Amino acid sequence: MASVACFVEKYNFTDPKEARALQNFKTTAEKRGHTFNFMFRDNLQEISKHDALFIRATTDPLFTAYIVSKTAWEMGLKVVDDPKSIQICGNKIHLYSLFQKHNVPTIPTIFLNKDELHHKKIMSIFRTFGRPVVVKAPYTSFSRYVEKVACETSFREVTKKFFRKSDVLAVQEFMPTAFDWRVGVLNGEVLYVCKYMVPKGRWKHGAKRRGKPSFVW
Amino acid sequence: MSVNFKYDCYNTDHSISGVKCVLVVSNIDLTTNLPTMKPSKFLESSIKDFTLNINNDYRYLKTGYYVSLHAEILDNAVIPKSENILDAHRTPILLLRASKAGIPTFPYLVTSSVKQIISEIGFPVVVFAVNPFSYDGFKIAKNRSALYRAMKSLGMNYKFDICAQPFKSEIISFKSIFGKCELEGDVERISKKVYDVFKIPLCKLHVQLLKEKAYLCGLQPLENAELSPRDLQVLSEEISQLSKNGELLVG
Repeated sequence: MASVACFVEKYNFTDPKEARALQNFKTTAEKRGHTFNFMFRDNLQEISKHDALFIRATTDPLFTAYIVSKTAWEMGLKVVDDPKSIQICGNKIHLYSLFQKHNVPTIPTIFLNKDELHHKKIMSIFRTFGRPVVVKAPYTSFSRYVEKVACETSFREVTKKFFRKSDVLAVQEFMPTAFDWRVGVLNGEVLYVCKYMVPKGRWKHGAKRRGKPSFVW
Repeated sequence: MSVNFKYDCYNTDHSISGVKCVLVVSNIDLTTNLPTMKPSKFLESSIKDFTLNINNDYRYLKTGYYVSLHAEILDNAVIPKSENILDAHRTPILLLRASKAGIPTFPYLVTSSVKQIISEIGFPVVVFAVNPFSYDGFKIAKNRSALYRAMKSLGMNYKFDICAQPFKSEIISFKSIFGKCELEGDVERISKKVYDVFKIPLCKLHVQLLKEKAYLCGLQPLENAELSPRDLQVLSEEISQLSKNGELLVG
């Protein structure tokens, strides 16, 4: 039987539902005969004592989750999410480039370099995609760092802010939707799909509908 | 959305006997005769060839990172690989992979807790940033208040963890160009080994010297202004040499 570490951050326990879900993981693992211990930032040196690592904190190369994942990977543990997946999925430029390479249908997207931010380029983007367009920082998740812009002034304002951290941004045609799908994949097999509803009157996630959760299982 | 970019290399004979043309992408003005391309042009192109990415700053989300990533998306062999860029600039991963490759390192602690550092390492301690944004690599703390200040600054107001290592002697920082440096002995060996593992053409390395033995502590990007004419010459010579050996050198 395996010793499983579950890397979590304090914020994972602020929502009672998430705290319960984490407890369910623990109970299920223990019922199956495994040991299951939560691991926080301050006891990362214990990674090597375990056989497997399950990450529940935000998986982004910017955060500790990547350090934890890569460390465990280098030490030979089984890791979910593995570092390569974090590298790809935590960066929208990487992700959309792979979509384009493998002909996965996506919203029309271009990548904008810091050096290209000039009037001619902005006008050409508006001509290609129409107005408004959506500007995304590569490290976006749950609609954070995603903005809709319809004129050159707001385009410059938003890109200037996002260019502080990343030298390349994604710009997309605006395609309104009432929902999108989150698909959970493990070992190449689909585990679940989850419908994420966009709150009424809004164009992106990040807000609850009158206190109700914005996703439907 | 990529466009085809017409590259001089394909119109003139720059290739060297039997070796495919090396595409040098650089934000630095090199003195080499090899054709070079600016990163912004390369990012718009779809040239398929062995790519040598020369940049003073390879940090995650910076142009140096995206050039390697773009080359990989095009299925090009590239130096350095995006994965190595990511790992080399995160001190705990740098030290872990380096020690696995036999490079001497000190034990380290990844944490955001001052208390833990004091109880497990004590003073003096050297603190490295783990966040990918910091340019200046480290701070030395000899007491509790200095440690608090270092952690606040390098942890970006405690948002990110830091990597703490015991401070046992002086720290030497030096430029490493394709693994070559101006120092000799143990330090030179570390520089070469770090290049062998991570293949970062241009960086600054930090080592601690203890009883004439060098221990790797950290790696950080270089400022463009830190490159002297002599460095540019070494860099250009190394690039010319690499272009002769071509793809065989991609690890």
